[in-house]
Amino acid sequence: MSAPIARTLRALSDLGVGSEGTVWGLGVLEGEARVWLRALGIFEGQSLRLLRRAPFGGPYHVRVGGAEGALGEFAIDPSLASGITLEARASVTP
Amino acid sequence: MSAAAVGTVALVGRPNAGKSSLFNRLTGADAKVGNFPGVTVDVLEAEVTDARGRTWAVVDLPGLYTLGVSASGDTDEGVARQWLDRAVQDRRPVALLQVLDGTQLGLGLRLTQELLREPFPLAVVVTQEDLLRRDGATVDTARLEEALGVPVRAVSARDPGSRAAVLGLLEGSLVPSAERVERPERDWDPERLARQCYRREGAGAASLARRTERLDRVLLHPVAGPVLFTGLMVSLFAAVFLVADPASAALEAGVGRLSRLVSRAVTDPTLASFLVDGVLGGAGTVLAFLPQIVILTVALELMDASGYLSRGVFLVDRLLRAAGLGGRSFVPLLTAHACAVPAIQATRILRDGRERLRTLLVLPLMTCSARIPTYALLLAAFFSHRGVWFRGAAFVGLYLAGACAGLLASLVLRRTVARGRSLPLVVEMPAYRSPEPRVVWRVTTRAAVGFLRDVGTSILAVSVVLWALLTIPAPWGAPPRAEAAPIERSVAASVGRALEPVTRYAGFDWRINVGLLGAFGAREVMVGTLGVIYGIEGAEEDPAPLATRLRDARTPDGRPLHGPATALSLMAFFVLACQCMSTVAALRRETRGWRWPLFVVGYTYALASGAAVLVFQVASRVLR
Ligand SMILES: Nc1nc2c(ncn2[C@@H]2O[C@H](COP(=O)(O)OP(=O)(O)O)[C@@H](O)[C@H]2O)c(=O)[nH]1
Ligand SMILES: [Mg+2]
Repeated sequence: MSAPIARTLRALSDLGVGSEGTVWGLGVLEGEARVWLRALGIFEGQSLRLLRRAPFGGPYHVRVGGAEGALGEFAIDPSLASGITLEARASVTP
Repeated sequence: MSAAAVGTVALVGRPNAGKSSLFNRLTGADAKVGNFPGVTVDVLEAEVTDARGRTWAVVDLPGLYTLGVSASGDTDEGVARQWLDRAVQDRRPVALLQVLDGTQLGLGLRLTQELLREPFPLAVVVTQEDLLRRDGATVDTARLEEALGVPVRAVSARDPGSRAAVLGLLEGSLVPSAERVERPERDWDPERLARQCYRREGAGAASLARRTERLDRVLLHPVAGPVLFTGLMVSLFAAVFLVADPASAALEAGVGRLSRLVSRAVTDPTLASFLVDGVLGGAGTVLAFLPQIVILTVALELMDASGYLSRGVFLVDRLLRAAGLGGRSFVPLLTAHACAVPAIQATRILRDGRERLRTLLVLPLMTCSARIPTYALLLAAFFSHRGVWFRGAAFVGLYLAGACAGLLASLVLRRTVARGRSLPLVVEMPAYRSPEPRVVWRVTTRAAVGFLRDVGTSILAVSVVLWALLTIPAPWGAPPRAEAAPIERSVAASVGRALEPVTRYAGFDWRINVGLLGAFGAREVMVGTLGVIYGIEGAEEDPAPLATRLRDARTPDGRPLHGPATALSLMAFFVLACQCMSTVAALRRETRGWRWPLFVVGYTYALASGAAVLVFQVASRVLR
C-alpha cells in the first residue's frame, strides 16, 4: 500500500520550504489584498509550492500552477503569507 | 494622431508579457511619451502604417494584472483604467490588443476574461512562441479563437517577422470603434482553456523554467544571493560615482573650450560673463549629469528586462520595510548617494505610487557627491588640527546623518503628507531572459533626451537668474566700498546683509549667506562663491588657501570671524537642505507639477535652518 497522505489546512507561513499545497482560501485577508493576489495568480484551487524564504524573515518565494503554460512565481510578504490558507499535501514518509 | 489615422490600438497585458518588445517592433524609434494629464508613468505612443497605407496610433499602456481595482492614478493598473475610461468618454475609436505570454497562458487568460467585458474590439497576441517551441510546445490559436470569439495570433516578439503578423491582425480583423462593443457573457475557465490549448509535441524540456530554477539557486542562495546583490549594487554605485566622472569631465571640458571662445569673441565684460558663467555654466551642469543618467538607465533596464530586479527586491524588501519603504526603493536610495538627479529618474521602477512619492521626497537628503567639496573645505579649515582619523570619521558621520535623516523623514511622511500604507509586497518573479539590446538602447536614448529637454531647460533658467543675482549691482543702497569686488555690491550681497540679523543665530555672516544664495541652485558652487568673496582664484581646484583664509579671517576688532561652531552648523545645513535646482527640476518632471518640488525645498530648508541654529547654539557653548 502507498504511504497515507495527510490532508490538513495550513497557512503558507506554516509551510516548510519545499512543500506543496492547494490554495484553499484567502478569507482572512482584507478585500484589496485579496483582489490583488487573485489577479496575480494566487487564487483558490491553484497548486502552490514554497520555494524559499528571503533572509531576515523576508518574503516567501512561491510557484503557482502545476502544468507548464500556467506557471508563475511570486514573492509574497509575510503579512500576507499568514492569510493564505492551503490544503497541504504533506507527504508522510512511510 | 494624424487625420488619416484609422484609430488607436492600445497594447495591454501583464508585466513582462512582451508589450515593450512588440511596441518596439511595430513602431520606429520615434515613439513619443503621450500627454495624459495626471499620469506619472510614461505612456508611449507612436504611429504605424499598415500595408494598405492607413496609419494607426499605437499606445503602450503600463503592465497590469487586473482592471478590477480602484482607479487611483497611483498604480499602473489605475493609469491603464483611467486611459480606457477616458477613451470611452471621448468616444475615441479604440481597439485593444492583449499581449499574452504563452508560457503563462492560464494567468494571461484571466486578464482576457476581464478585457472581454470592456466595450472595445479585442485581439490577442500570444508571445514567447520561440521559447515554447524550444520546449517542444505550441499554443493552439484556432482553438483559442473559437473559445474567446476574438482573433488570436502567436508570435515571437523578438522576431522581426512579428511586425507583419501583428499588422496583419490589425488590418484583417481589428477595427477600432467608437461604438460600444457588447459581447454575450460566455462561461469558461481560464485554467482549463489553457490546458486544452497547450499542445506538447514530443518530449521537450521546460528549459526556461529549468534555467530559471538553476539561476535562482545561486542568485537567491541565502548567503551567495545577498553577497552577489551587494556586489552588483556596489559596482553600479561605483560606476555612477566614478566611471561617469571622466565622461562628465570631457563634456565639461568641451563647454570650457566654448567658454574661452566666447570670452575672446565677446568684448563687453558683462555680456561675456553672462554667456560664460550664466548660460554655458548652466549648460555644463546639465551635461555633467548626462553620463550618470545613461549609466543608471542602462543598468536598471538590464535588471528589469532580465528579471533580476524582482530578485533584488525579494532580497532587500525586509530591510527597507522597516523604514516605510520597500525593496524597490533600494536602487534609487543607493544612487542618490552619488547624485539625486538620476536617482529621481530611477524611482520609475516603483510600482506603488505612494511609496514612489515618499522615496522621491527623501532622496534629496542622501549625501550626494556635490556636498563633498564643502565638507572637505570646512573640515580642512576648522578641524585640520584634529588629525586624519577625525576627518575620516566626520565624513562617515555626515553620510550616516543624511541616511538617518532620510529614513526618519520617510517614517514621518508616511504618517502625514504622503499617507497610505504601501500594499504589502507581492511581486512576480519572472523567468530570466536575456534583454534585447535595441530595446535597452531606445529606452536609454529616450531617458537622455527627456532629461535634456525637461530638466535641462529648468537648470539653464535658474543658472541665468543666479548669475544675475551674484553679478548685477544692487540698485539700492550705497556700495560698501567703491573698489569692492562686484560680488560685494551684488543683489545677493545686499540680501545676505539683510539676512544677517537672523542668520546670526546659526553663526552665518553675510559672506556665508551669499555663498548659500549661490548654492541654492547647485550646492557645489559654495566653495567657488566663497572663493570669489575672499578674493581667492581657483578655490574649486585647490581649497587649501581658502581654508586658511577662512580660519584666519578676523572681525574689525580682531576676533575670529568663523569658528568650528559655524563650520558644524554649516555642515548640518548642507546635510539637510535641498540646494539643487536640478533636483527640483527633476522632481517637477516626475511628479508633473510644482507642488512636491516646492514642498521638498520648503521642508528641507526648514529642517536645515532649525538644525543649523541648534548645532551652532550648542556647539558655540560646548566648544568654547
Ligand atoms: N524569447 C522571447 N523573449 C521575449 C518575447 N517577448 C518578450 N521577451 C522578453 O521578455 C522580457 C520582458 O519583455 P517586455 O517587452 O519588456 O515586457 P513588457 O513588460 O510587457 O513591456 C524582455 O527581456 C524581452 O526581451 C518573445 O516573444 N520571445
Ligand atoms: Mg514594458
